[in-house]
Amino acid sequence: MIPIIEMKNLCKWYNQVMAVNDVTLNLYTGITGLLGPNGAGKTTLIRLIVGLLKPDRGEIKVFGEHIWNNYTLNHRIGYCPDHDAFYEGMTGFQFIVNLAMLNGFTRSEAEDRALDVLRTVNMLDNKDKRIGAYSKGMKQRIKLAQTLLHDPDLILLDEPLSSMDPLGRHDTIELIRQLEQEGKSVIVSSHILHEVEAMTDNIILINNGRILAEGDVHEIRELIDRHPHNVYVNCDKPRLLASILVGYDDVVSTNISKEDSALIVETTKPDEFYSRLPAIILENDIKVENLYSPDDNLQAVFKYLIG
Amino acid sequence: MPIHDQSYRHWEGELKSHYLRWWVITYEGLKVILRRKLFIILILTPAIIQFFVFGGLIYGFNTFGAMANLNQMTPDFFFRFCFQQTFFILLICVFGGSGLIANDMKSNALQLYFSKPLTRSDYIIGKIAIIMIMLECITAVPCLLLFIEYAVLSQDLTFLRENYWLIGSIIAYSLVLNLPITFLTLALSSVTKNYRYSAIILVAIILGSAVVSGLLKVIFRSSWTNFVMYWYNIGIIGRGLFGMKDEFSEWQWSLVIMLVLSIICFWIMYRKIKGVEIVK
Repeated sequence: MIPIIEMKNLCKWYNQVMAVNDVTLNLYTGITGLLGPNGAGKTTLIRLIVGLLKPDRGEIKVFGEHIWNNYTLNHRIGYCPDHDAFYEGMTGFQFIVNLAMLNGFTRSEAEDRALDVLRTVNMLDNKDKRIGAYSKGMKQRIKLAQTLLHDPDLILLDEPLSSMDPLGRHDTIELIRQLEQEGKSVIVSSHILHEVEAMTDNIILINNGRILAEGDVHEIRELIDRHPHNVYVNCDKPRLLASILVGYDDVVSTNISKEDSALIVETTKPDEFYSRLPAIILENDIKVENLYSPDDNLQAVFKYLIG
Repeated sequence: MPIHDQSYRHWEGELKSHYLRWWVITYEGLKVILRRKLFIILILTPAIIQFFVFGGLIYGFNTFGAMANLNQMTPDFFFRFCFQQTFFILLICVFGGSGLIANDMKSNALQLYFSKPLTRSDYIIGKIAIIMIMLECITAVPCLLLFIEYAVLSQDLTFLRENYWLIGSIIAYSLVLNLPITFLTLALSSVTKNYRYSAIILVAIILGSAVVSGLLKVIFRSSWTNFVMYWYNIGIIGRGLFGMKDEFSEWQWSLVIMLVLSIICFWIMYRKIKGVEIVK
């Protein structure tokens, strides 16, 4: 299979800060999740792919051509930035039409196409409102709409779900899946694992500008599962629950948090732990207020991977 | 009830070629500026009124000139018209040009622009064209119309035969009047995200250059200190281009100064305009 993006020893630094550090990576068609904590280098990597930044070292090719100073490739690339990039006084429709004209549409074509993409992101009803009056989620949808204007082959979405309400997230995830079915290649960055998991199995983990892992999200999950998980249980009888749980082989340790008296359970088999817990709670009449695992957040994944 | 297809739609048409992409930037920029009524009423309209005043003078020369011995129209007349527009040129740059790049930078629009098939050169040409079109509309265009008016009102072709070169002078001088200040305006607009700052600095440079020149003159007692003054240089280049070299013979030096200023401004602009701002 021919890669759509080839990166070879790619480096980008801002003064002393290495934003992208010796990245060698090939990306293929389909949806790829670019996963990393804030400041990991996701945005810089995306900007390098779009051609907004020049690599300091190494090379990057998109569709087999060098992207830097190759504006003709932008006909095939759609970019949705993470930060807002609007004239707040314009209406959503005007904004989209203007950007469509930069893509080479005539005015009438731009207006037709703008209606198409606004319909796709469910913003048709709000197209004539000033962007300044939009909610954050609406602004996100408008950014998404301008990305799709010229029907690009490669779509780069930098944190597209941030600031969206649950319905907006659902719609956007569905749209991204649909784009893949339409033959588009989509790269989505996020710092939230379950967001990316909802879109694709194919993920790349990035931290401190380096690629930590790439491949199937389930492999990453397995990798995580080999390490003990911490589970926080806020309940009315933490000591009783702790005494019961220590009897199981998979439970490595139990501690009670000094801050909120939550029970912190360390387990090597989180799935078994979660399936057994409801029965224990019911049998012992324990009232659970809150149950969460900080291991689900990405920072914990990186701690495991970095060791 | 018809159910519309909400799914993603492909674009089946052809997209335009690249060479006129800068015009989108220019067109949209002009639209935004010319939508401001105060700008049109307070700046553009008075600038155009000057044209009618001078047009009336030409009519007067031709109608009553013979009686008042004023029927000899000199190149100085056209130079004066252009040079009197400098006040409005500055106003247009301050109120119409200062925000052209600063506002794009403030709203992060550059990263979106440059993710489209638009080059940095397209963008810069588009922005230059916004200011230049407005400035040429109050300098070269009315001045050429005045020239035509005089030629038409003249009873024979003598004026045209003797002064045809003025057409070139008018066009060249309008470029000298408009290009350096356009570059300066855009360079200042590209170094700050706040258009007010760039407007203030522009005014400070243009008017401040006269103050600095005056101070230097007091200190050094030399006429060369005049070259520090922006409008002085513009003025004597004009006199040179309109054939009044006997009065000011150093117009070539002023031309070099304006050329250097324009190159520096263009260089600043080119370096500052990037898809992504890198904070150092």
